[in-house]
Amino acid sequence: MKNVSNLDNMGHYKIPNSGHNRDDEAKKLGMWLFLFTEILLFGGLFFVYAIYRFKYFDEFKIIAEHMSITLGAINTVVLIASSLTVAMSITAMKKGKDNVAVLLIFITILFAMTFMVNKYFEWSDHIHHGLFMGADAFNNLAKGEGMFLFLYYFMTGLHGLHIIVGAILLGIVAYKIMNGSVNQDKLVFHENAGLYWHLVDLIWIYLFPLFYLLH
Amino acid sequence: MSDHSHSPSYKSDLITFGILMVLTALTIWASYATGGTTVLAVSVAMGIASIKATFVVRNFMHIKYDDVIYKIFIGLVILLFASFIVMLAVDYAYR
Repeated sequence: MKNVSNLDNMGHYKIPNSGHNRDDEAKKLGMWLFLFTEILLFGGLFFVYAIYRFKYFDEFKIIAEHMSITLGAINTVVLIASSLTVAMSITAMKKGKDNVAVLLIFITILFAMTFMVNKYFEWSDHIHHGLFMGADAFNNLAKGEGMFLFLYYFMTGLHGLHIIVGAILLGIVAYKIMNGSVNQDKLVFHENAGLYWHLVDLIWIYLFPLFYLLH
Repeated sequence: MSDHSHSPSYKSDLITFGILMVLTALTIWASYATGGTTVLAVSVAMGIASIKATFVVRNFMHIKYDDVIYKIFIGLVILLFASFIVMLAVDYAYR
């Protein structure tokens, strides 16, 4: 026997309660599963780094001297501070302080921009010194040194791309808070964007020592 | 919903930030103290990074307020990641 109540007025089958029940837990779990794929994406690159670090131990040490610990440290502080402001914006939402949350998100986006501007100066400086694929200075480097730079551009570049995506996501969150579609009782979108942002911070926590400190 | 007993607060967010700042300073100091690229230096740097990562995941990503299923999943991913590292190291060492 067909269950008549599961058919809509056009006679199409309809999943019971579809579109009526919100499942925040499933959304959050889905976000975490996505974050796991991100970890495996960067994980593969970390494995490549590990192999070449062993293979070209001395060359990695020499070329890493070109990295500015100061710039790296500033970006680390900026990124951890941005993680703080995102976490605080979620805390603010839970307390029902929407305006504070929006302000904190704007500060986070400002931190993201600071990070990227810093990165721009850093990369420009390397490129200016010919430390980029195809430049003469690069071609004269030992194989391991070139590999370090290749991994440096690839990994920090991919990370930078995540910063841009994360900042855009947070901008959407701020917009949604302002139009009321993200609010104290419905903030899973905000929380998921926050999780993404923290993951970006998490990856930098490993990139910083691997590319800047170990020389 | 399991986060009603201990909800996040500005204070706990700020404390986590403070700890992360101290650990950042520590890892920079340690990189000089351990002399760069020795096995010790790499181990210390990765060790401190992992402690920082734990604080981010637990306190900022709110895993400490979440259901046990998230902890199990994260544990499995760490295990998967660690087993890849071990396989990689073994493969490299006996190649």
